[in-house]
Amino acid sequence: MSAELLKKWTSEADTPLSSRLEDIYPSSHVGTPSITDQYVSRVKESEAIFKGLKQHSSQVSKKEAECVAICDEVLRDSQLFLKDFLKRAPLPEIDWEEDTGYMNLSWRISSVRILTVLVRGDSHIIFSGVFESGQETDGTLEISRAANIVLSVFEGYSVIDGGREFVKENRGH
Amino acid sequence: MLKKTEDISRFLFKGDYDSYLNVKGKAFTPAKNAIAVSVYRIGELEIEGKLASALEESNTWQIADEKIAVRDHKGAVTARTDFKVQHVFDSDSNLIVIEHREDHQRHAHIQPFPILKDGASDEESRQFYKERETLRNKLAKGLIATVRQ
Repeated sequence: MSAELLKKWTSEADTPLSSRLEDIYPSSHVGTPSITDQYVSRVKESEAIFKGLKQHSSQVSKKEAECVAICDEVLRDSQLFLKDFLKRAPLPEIDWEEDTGYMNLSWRISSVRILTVLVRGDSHIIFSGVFESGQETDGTLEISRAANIVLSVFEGYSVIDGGREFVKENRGH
Repeated sequence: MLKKTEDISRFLFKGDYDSYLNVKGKAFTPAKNAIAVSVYRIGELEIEGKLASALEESNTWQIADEKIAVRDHKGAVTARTDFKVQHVFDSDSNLIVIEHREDHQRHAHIQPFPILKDGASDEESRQFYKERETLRNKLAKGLIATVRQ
């Protein structure tokens, strides 16, 4: 993503990401949803989850001292990461980490293949992949280049559960 | 240190497993500033010189009722995941399982998890969370939740 585009997206924080995507990628209105439609749908779904989690975390943290609410920076980085990542990958399981206020995105490619991304709101993400036969990978990446690198890990291991097919079908985006 | 063949169980809250009952890494998050996560020994074991038999289902859930507090934002324990101590060794980490009977005769700890030092730099903080994330994922790998009926 160019710095200019990143600036544009982050400066338009009040406009839902999915609305801006629809400006860029017009929807196809007939037949089976296009790859673009499916992508926009995933982004919309992620936004709804983020919104719900942020509200929930805010409410809970007021009652329980050990819980930390999700802050705007965590939300911003999570959205920026998924905006690119979801072009070629399915929606992850999205969790609020109560003790820190961080966001955890996880793809369970199978029971023995786990890829997670921890978003802390510091313009970096931490990723961790553990796979069968003791294979593992992890790292810390700047948010601006994180999606492509983590996607390469995801694509390398998403052979079953439709993952490989998903990647193949969405590669042309 | 517990034998690798011993059966242990980690109690789970609703958010600790997904819709396919795969256990999430977050199920193995130690409490703040703690180096261990709790498990319970559910197999046959020696307690005060006497051989105690493996726990029945109802006795296992009874431990959850007695020892795991209901939390406002999490609710009560809804599931558990059973595994052998060997699973912890297989995670290829420095984690071990040791008994911790002060709390309960069948209580044990998986430890040591890393701790974030006060005043840690950004880099140290990132290193800590990266290490913790990988440890949690390694422990969750291959584990399935058994939902309480």
